[in-house]
Amino acid sequence: MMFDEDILQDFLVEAKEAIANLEEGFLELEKDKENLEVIRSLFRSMHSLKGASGFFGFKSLESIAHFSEEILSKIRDGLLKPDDSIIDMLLKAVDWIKFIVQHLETHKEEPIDDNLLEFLVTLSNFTEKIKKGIKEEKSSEKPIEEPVQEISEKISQGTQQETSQETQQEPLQVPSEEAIPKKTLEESVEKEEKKEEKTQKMVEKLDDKKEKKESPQVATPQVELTETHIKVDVKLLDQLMNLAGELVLARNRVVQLSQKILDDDLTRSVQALSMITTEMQETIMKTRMQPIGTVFNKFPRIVRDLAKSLGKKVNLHLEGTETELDRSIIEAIKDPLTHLVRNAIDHGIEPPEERVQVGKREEGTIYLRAYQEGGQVVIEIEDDGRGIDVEKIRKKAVEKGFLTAEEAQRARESDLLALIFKPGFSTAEKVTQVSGRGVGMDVVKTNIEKLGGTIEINTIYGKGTTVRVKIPLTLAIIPALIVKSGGYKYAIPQVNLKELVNVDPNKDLLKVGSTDFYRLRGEIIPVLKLSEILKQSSNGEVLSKNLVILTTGERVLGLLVDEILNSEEIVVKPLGKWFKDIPVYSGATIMGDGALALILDVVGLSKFIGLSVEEVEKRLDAERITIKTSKDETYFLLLFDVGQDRLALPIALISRLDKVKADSIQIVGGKEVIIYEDQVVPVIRLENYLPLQGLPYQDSYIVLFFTERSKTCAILCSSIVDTIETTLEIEEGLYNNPGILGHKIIDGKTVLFIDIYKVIEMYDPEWFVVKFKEEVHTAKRILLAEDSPFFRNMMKNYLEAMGFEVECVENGREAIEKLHNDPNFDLVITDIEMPEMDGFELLKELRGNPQFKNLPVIVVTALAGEEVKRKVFEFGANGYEVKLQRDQVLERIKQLLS
Amino acid sequence: MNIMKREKEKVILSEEKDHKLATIDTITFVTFYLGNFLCGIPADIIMEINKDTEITPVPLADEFILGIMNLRGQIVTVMDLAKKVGLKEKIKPTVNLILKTEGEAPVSFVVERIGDILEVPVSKIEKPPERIEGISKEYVKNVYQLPDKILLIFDVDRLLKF
Repeated sequence: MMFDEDILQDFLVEAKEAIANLEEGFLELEKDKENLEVIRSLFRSMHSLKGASGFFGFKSLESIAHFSEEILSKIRDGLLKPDDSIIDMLLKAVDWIKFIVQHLETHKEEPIDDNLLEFLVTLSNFTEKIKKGIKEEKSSEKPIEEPVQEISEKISQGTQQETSQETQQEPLQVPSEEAIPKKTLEESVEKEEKKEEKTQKMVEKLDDKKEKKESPQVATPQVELTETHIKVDVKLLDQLMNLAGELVLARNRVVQLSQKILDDDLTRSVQALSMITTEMQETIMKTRMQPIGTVFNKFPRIVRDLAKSLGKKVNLHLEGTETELDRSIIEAIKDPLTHLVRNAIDHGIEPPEERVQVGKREEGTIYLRAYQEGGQVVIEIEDDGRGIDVEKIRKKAVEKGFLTAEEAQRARESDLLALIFKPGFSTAEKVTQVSGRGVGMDVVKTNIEKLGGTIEINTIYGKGTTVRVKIPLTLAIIPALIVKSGGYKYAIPQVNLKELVNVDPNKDLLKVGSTDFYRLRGEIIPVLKLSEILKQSSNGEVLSKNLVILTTGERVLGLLVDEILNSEEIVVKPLGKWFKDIPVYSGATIMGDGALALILDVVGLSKFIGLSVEEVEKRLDAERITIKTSKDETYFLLLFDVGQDRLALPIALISRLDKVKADSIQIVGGKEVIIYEDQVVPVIRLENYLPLQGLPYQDSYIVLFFTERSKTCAILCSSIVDTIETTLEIEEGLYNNPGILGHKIIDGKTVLFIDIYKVIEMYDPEWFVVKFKEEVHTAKRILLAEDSPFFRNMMKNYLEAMGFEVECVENGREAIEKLHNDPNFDLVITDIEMPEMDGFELLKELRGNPQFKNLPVIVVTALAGEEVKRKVFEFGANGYEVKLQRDQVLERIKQLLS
Repeated sequence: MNIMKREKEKVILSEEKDHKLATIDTITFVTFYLGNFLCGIPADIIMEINKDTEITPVPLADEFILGIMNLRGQIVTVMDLAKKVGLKEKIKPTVNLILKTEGEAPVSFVVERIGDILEVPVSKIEKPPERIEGISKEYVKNVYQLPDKILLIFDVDRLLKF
């Protein structure tokens, strides 16, 4: 049998403790034979030892403990006087227990030792003799059969048979407290017969030995148990941890001083001190760390039992069980996790019939996953069940009065999901025994927040739900961002930090009512000024330009601070009771220079937000301010002149820039080319294809190289003007020539945004055709959802050039409408950030709709990010590509449509 | 939850109070000045006296909370005693009287100027007069008549009561 190493270690530590107790106790008992206290304690130690060894299937150990316990129970009940021979025998039993425990420690299994078997027989006989003695005294009942056979059988059987010794207790009238399941005599006799042949030999051997040395008793082993594990009071560890934190601070001060003094010897010793301190701190931290497996490992059983009682089939997968967390956190997440897993089974996973009906496997799958991510541990509970019906929440929110009908109508999915965490909100239609017992998701959330963690839910209706809990590695030391406000430092836990943005408060912030808002990639984020919240007297009109985007897991907010300093590992210290009623602090910390910094509580800060995001959107709508999203995204553009005309191209599209002499341009086969790095590169003059005034002769030209699929061409221009970062918000309609996407006024001059793909195609219609067209037999239809006209036109052009039929819409909502009217699309390409309905919501909507469940969707983005990517695929996308990487987008389409 | 905790603190504090004054014949007081008032608190509850420590303000805290300070790695709550007892005059908080507190974060009273250490016979400690001008009476537990002045003995438990 295989055990978890940790559990075995725990057992051994406990067993050693029990042994120490027993030895001490028996010696005590020898002196004072009437001491009931000692007898009871001995009985308890022996009893728990029996239980634990039984659990592990350590049969010899269990037997010894069992017989000893039986004797002790007689003593306890006053049926037996503990004379020296009894104590002697019990002490021997303890010696054997010690021997076995030591063997377990080194070999992880019980010893196979003839002497041990002999002792067992002796002990068993001894017990019987005592029992008989008692019975004779009471002069009742029939005598009991010789137990030797059974014991030997038991040992040879190993783990299979349970404590059948109980059968012998049957005729006894001695009251026994323990609730050991009693086997009927017949049953054990039956087993006996079956095993008889096998055990016969052994029994003979044993009988042999027994005869030989019946009177001289078996020698007991003398072993000293070495302590490899000790139990330490957690308080002591906490204190050590505190001191280590202090040591770090003291060390920092010494380091600062030594830098002033600049003495070589001092510097060296300070370095040594520094290293040792760091190592010590880490080691002390480690004493409190435990693998999360200690919690995870109890879930297979919970899941099994629960699934069974609900008539569901569930496979549980555990991942990352070795991820370590602070002990206190491990303790504290047990209950929330259990609740979440129960929820997943009860509400998430459908009954088998239902699953089969919707085309899922009969068995549901739950992943319980833990991994580290930037100073935090992420725990995910993922199920492939029915998901959460957001519409149901919407309805219920109104019914229960959480939202007005109007609010509910406007509420986004994320807002609705957040309602699950509100007290008194539960979507379970019927209260089952499993969930809905008053402990709701609100409690889960509060508990997780108490740990400084966050919780979020992602769900796709019909597909499943993922609950993601992020918690700090340790409660005592956390990574934090140090900011400055009103001349003092404040620490913001990294868990809550999303990103940092530099803003111009006058331009970028939007005031609605008394609350400021910032648009971050289309999302409206309420902005708080730290100095205002803290009511710090503002020193003049110094504008805070540093916006820290924070999340409580449920809502996102921006915090304007005077200065952003650095990230630091901070030691969290509690504040006194005087500050309990101030919601914005969660503690204080001591910085390297000995100064104090208050730690900000982001959940507390969020309470200062006046208006809700929904209200703002409502008001914005009323004011007819439309929220465009790609408007907010900026790109680096290259501005260049061709003669009199100014043109722009995203830099990302240009592979190289160089200067060439006019005489190096040759005409080969009627085409202008240059030789560039041993390659013949065709030269394109834009004025040949676009309505430009033309490029006058220059001694040298600037060439922009454009490479795709190892084919390179060059565009000739007169000079580079600038590179600027701007949005791709362009005016359409004025220039309707193919190859021009639109224009924009930059620095007082009209700049034409060119469609480089179109231009190249005009130059050579075959340029991009790389055995691509042949493969696409019938024109496949693509629905493109993109709010930026620049990208929309560009992508449409290059998709059409490939022979696809492309329909464009400007946001997710339109895409859905389009699909409902005309479902015959082979593929959907969608941007993420769009007004009204973004790419994520579109994806969800599609994946939740049986009609479009399998429609391939490619999500395109301006900038690739790992987190977004994960989310995109989680939501069921088939591809995730960068808009400007045309060839990769096409490659993906090809792959999905083939 | 919060209330429960407070209840508990109260219990601890009142226990402390009871066994203090009862049996001893004389009590040693650390005296200090708040404006013109000579005030005292029992010396045995003072852990240490510090001067000119750096105090970090805690915005949004009660007015009489000056902030927090770092005492060898411990966060100490600093209370402006003059403000707490409702002294009308403005004083410059300079000296920290750091109190021994059980369990929770320690508290320091800041005062303007420290006076003598006085040993006062228990029998001479009197009830405070009906009226005390310029300071709230609720925090004055007892008084002691000195030849030239009156010593106001503060009720520390009440001062620390949240």
